[in-house]
Amino acid sequence: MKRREFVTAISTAAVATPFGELFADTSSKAGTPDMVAVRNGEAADMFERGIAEMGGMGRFVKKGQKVVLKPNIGWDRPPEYGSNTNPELVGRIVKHCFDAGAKEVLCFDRTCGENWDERYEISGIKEAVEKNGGEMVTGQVSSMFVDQDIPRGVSLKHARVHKLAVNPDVFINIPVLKHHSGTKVTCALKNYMGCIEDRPWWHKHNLPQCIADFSTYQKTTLTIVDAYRVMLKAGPRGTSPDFAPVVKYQIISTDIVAADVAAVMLFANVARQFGMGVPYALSDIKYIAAAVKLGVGTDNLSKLNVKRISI
Amino acid sequence: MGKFFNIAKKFRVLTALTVFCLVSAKFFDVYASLPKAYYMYFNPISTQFAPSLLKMLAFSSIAAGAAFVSFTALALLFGRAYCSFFCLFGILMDVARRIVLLPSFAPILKETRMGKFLGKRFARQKFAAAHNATRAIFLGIAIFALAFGYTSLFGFIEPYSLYGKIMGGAVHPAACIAVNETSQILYSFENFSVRPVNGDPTIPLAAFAVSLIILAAITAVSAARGRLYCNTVCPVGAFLGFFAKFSLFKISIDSEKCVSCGMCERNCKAQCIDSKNKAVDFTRCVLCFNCAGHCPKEAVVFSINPIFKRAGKSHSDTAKAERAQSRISATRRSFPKIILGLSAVLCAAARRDGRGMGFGRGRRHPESEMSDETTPFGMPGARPDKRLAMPPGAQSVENFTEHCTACQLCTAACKAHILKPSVGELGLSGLMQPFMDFRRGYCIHNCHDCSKVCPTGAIKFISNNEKRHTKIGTAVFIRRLCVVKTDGTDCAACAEHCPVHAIEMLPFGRREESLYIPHVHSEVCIGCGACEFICPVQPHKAIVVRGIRKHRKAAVFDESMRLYKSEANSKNARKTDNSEKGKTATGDFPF
Repeated sequence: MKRREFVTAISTAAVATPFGELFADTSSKAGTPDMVAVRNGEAADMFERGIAEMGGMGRFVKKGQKVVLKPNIGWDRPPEYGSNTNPELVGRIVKHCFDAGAKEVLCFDRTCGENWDERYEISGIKEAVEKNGGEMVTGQVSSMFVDQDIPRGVSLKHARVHKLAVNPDVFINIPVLKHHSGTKVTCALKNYMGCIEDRPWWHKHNLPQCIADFSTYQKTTLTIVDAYRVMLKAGPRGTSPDFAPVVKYQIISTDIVAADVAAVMLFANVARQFGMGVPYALSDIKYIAAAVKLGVGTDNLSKLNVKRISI
Repeated sequence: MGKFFNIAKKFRVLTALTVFCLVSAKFFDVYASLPKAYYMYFNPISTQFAPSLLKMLAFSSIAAGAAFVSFTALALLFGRAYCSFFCLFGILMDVARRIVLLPSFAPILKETRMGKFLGKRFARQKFAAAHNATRAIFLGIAIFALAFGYTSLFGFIEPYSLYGKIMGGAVHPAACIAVNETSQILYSFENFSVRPVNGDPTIPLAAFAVSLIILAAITAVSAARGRLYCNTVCPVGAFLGFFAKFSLFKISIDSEKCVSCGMCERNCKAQCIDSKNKAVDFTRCVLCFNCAGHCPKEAVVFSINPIFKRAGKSHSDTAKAERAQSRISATRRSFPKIILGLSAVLCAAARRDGRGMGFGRGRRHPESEMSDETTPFGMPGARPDKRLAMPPGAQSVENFTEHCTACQLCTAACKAHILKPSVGELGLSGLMQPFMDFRRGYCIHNCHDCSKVCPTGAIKFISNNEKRHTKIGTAVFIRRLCVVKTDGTDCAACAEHCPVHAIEMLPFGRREESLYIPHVHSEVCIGCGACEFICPVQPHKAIVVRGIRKHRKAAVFDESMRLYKSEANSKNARKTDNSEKGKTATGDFPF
């Protein structure tokens, strides 16, 4: 190596290493973060990086625990439509849970249609979960649901909740960020509609309030927002992959409301960037305000220790 | 000859069991997991005689009626081979008879009172005179039922559909419920290995009762009198029997060898051997070969039909006996019966008013009149604008009701379990014909299983892609019932579930409330019923499907159809005012 090249290389490395880290993460505070936002990577890789920043899966999953995953598998659409959670991401989460010592990893969703087994397959999640040793559980059978009281609920006082969602050791919420015809944007809080049996009742009795009410009941260990593809319109089912551009974001958060707030901001940003769909303001998303009022989480991101990473 | 009969009987049993198991597999296929090859390359259901006749009529193609043509031709060669080899109802009868009479031949039970009683009373068959008038009447009813479009009636006398009614109306729901119960028990032990079945597999009680009555009746008849149904009611038996009379080969008794021991008569399912007169009524013989197997003298032979031989040869006795018998059966006494039967059918046909005889409050509603737009069928107690839709592939109400024999195969194949046998919904003339029950679910967007299995052409095959664009009905939105209007809260459950994006959400009320109300793009809507099923409004849904009479291709939603176009732009403008643009400029993260 020539001397000049050597010097250049050394100086580049010297400059890049510390400052690169520094610039990418200007607003981070000390200690383990409450929220990590990652961008510019494949869904599984972003998770890999993000969870490492969060302190590893071991922070949330202890040895011998039963882990329940709640991705969004609502629709009979392949991954390109962005209607369901990214299967690679779910698969990687299953792997991390087992690596952290989980006894078993179960995954379920009450799909938006009777043909749940087909939707598990089409979404690719079934394959991803089973390949990593996890197990898919139906959310469609009435006997899987048990009556639960929701003491802090305003509109929703009782609900029939999926057995797996009742007092889980670890409950990981893996929503996908997308447009929704009813609640404008659907993400972490709305994803919990897949835990209960009678969704039409919610639609009938003030949907945003019911979503907020249920979040007071449901234990959440971790929320992982999949925004690898963001469906900007024709949601939540999606009619074309064109409406779901690949934007490569991911938000990992311990605060479910904060995850939704960040996700809605992200949605608006992406919508503006692609000139598609509507860049909704936080005030348009009524369930977030309702959840904040019930004290489920915070909508003030500056209160949290947020780490932002670009890969 | 003995060896020939031995092989023939083995071949018969093997063929029958294979066909029976293959077709029944569809009724036990609770997860709809049979491979494509089952339907495409060798469809065992296509071997059935009456459905293939209907398919031939539905498609106006001889190829579609291959089974009808070939088994008729076969009858001219060997007689009613179809009845023992392929007829599912006949095989079911044989199986039922064997099961009921099990004590009479099982080694352990043989000596018991029960075994002796059954052996003496039921296991021994006796020659019975032919009921030719009854056969003619039922054949006449069948022909008239087909001619006047009473296919459901045809389905109640035709063997394959009766078999289907038993399997689809009782066996399939029972199998599904058994799977569901098993999986629920396992689930309570945290074992998730058995998946429950999609949808609600139960069927209307009345339809279940009809299936059980058919099963009980046929078990009793077959135990007592063997193939009595085949030689009285069955129109296929009567039709093929007519050809069997002129078949080239037939079973007869060699009068030189025969000692009139009666073993053949005793074992004849069809009760068509008269061992005293050494005569066989080949129009009733179902070619089971049991007689030959039990003949100690090998006197039962399979030979050229004596009508093709000159009189005075070795078989003249048999031929004479035959002729004598046919003379008896065609007595003048049977004429009144035939005339009565036929006129009853004609009268019934004449009363058919072409408007459907279904009940439901909207029967006299103007929209229930036969028009190109709506089907004439409603549900009891439902809104008048809710009209039953016909499954995709049915093409039109007429095509469906005129070709469906209500064999229940599609109700068993329906992945969503929404095709249910009707008990009044499609009128009396459509009894047991399936209807789409959107109260239990909706037509799954990428499923075309009913069109894959239908053996009669009532539901013609359409590809998955075609099905997704076939319009079977139109969603009718009733604004005053919608929760967005009544409660002022977000809902959009219908828009969410619409697979073709036929429901657009339009702004509703004041801007700050940020409410949206559904609007149906009628031409885009395919009428799958998803919106109706999911609509939270009770008891009358705010959105219901009005089935259309003639199916057509639905339009595909494109952006030019969007009614509220300015949304994105106006919102954009609003946001830029709020000085949020500065944030986006930072790039990486908007928060």
